[in-house]
Amino acid sequence: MIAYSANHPVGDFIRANLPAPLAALANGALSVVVLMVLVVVVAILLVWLERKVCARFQARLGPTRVGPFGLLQPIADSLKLLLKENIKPRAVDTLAYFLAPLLPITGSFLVLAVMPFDHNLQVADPQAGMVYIAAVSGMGILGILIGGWGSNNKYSLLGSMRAGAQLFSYELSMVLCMLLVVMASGTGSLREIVLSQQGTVRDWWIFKLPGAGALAFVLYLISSTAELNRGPLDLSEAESELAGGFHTEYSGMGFSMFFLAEFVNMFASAGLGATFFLGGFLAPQFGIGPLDHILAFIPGFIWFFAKTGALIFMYMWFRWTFPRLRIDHLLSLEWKFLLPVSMANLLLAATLVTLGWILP
Amino acid sequence: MRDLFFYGLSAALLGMAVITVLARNLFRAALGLLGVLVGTAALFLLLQAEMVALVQVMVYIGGIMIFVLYAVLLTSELGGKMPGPSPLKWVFGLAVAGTALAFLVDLVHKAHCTLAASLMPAADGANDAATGAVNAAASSGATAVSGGVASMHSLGLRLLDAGPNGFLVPFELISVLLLAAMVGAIALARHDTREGA
Repeated sequence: MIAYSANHPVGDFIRANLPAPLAALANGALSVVVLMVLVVVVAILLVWLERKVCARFQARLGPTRVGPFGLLQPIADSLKLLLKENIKPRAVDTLAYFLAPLLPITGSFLVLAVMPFDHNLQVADPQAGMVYIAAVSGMGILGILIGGWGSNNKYSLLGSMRAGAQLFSYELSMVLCMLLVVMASGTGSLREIVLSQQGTVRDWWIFKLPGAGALAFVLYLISSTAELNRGPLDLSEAESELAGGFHTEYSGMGFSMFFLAEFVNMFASAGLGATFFLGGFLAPQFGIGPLDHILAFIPGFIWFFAKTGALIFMYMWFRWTFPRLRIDHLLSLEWKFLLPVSMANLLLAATLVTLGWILP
Repeated sequence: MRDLFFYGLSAALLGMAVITVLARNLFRAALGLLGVLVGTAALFLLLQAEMVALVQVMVYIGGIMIFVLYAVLLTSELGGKMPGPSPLKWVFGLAVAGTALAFLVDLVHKAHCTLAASLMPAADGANDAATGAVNAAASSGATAVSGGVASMHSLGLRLLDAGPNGFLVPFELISVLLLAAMVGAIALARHDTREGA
C-alpha cells in the first residue's frame, strides 16, 4: 500500500504564498476554472472523436479538411452553433425555456467536481461521494422535463416524458452497480474507492469480486448507455426517427447546451466506470517487476484519461453498431431484466463480501 | 461569515416558499418548491450534516420533485392560471400554518431553555420526541461523532443497529410500508389496463 498525498504542488504553492482565507478562495476559484476548461476541451475532443469513429464504422474518413486530421472541425461546428440566431418561439414559457438547457450541464459539471483525476487532482472528496453522484445526476432529468414542457409543443412534451421515463428507470440499475462497489470497498468516497483497488490488475473491482464485479461492470455499461441517451438506447431523441424529442424547439445556444451536456456526461460516466471498476488513476500492474516500474512511472491522470478514453470508445462502438430498441422493449429490458439481475448481483456480492471470498 | 450565509439562505428560502404558495401558475409553484428543497439541503450543509443534505437532494429533487413535475406537466396547461383560493381555504390554511408556527416557536423556546440550563448538546432529547426517525438519527449521530458531523458511516450504523439506540425495527417497518405502496400501485395500474383492454 502506497500512501498517496492529496495535496497538489500548485495548491501547496498558493497556500504557501497567500494568507489562509485568500488561499482557500484562490484554490477554489482555480479548480472551478480548470474544471470549466476541461468541460470545454472534453466536449470539443469528443465531438471530433464521435465524428471520426462514426465515419470509420461506416467506411468513411470523417472530417479531414479543417486542421490536421480535421481536429479543428469541432471548433468550426461550435462557432456555427454560437453564431446561429437563438430563436424563441412565441408561445413558450420563457423562464422554463431558458432555465432548462442550463440544468443538465450543471449536473455533469457537479459530477466532475468529485471525480478523482489523480491522487492529488480532485476538487472535493465528500465521504458520501456516491450519494452525491446519485443526487446531482437527477438534474439532467429535471432539465429535460422542464425543457420539453416549456417548449409548448406536443412532440417535445412526449419526447421529454419518454426521456424522463428512460432516465429514471435506468438510473436505478446504474446506482445499484455502483452500490456494489461501495459495499465491497466499504467507503462512499471516490478517492478511497480507487485506493481500495491498489495492487495488481486483479485487485480492480471488476476482477476482485469473482463474477459479480464483471457482471456489475457490464450492467453499468448498459445502463449508463441508456442514462446518456446514446444509441442503441437513445429513445429520447432518436434523430433519424422522431421529431427531435425534447429539444425540437431549441436552436443555437439552447440546443448546443443540451448537446454539450451529453458529451460531458459521457466523459463523466466513463470516468465513473473507470473509477469504480478499473482502478481509476492507478497504473495497471501485472506482477512483472520491470514492466510494473515503467507503468507506475506514468502519472496517474494519464492512466485515468486512458481508461476513460477506452470506455468512451466502447460507448461510441455501441452506438454505431447496434440497432435502436423500441421504447417498450427499452423499458422492459430495464424493469424485467437489468433491475432484477443487478439486485441478484448485489445479493451475490453481499454474500461474497460477508464470506470473505474476495480474490487475494 | 456563517451567520451571513444563514441569513442569506433563509431569506432566499422564505422567498421561494412564498412563491410556492402564492404562484398562480402550477409550474412556477413547482419550481418554487424545488428552490425550497435546494435551500433546505444547503441549510443542512451549513449544519455540517453532509449526508442528510445529500439524501435531501437525492430523494426530494432526484425523486419526488420529478414526480411532482410529471404530474404538473401532464395535468396543467402552459401559462395556465389557477383561480385564487376561496376565503374558507385562506382561513384553514392560516390556521394550519399558525398552529405549526406556534408549535415550532414552543419547540425552539424549550430547546433554548435546556441549552441554556446545561451547556451540553441537550437539544437531542427535545428533537427526538418531536421530529421523525431520520432527524433524530442525524442529531444523535452528530453528538456521537466528534466535530458534529452526521456522517454516512454513523448514520448507517445507527439505522441498522438492533440495540436500544438503533433504528433497525423502524427501518425494516418502513421497507414493509414501501412494499405495500408498490403492491398497491401495481394493483391499481393493472386494474386499469384490464378494464381498458
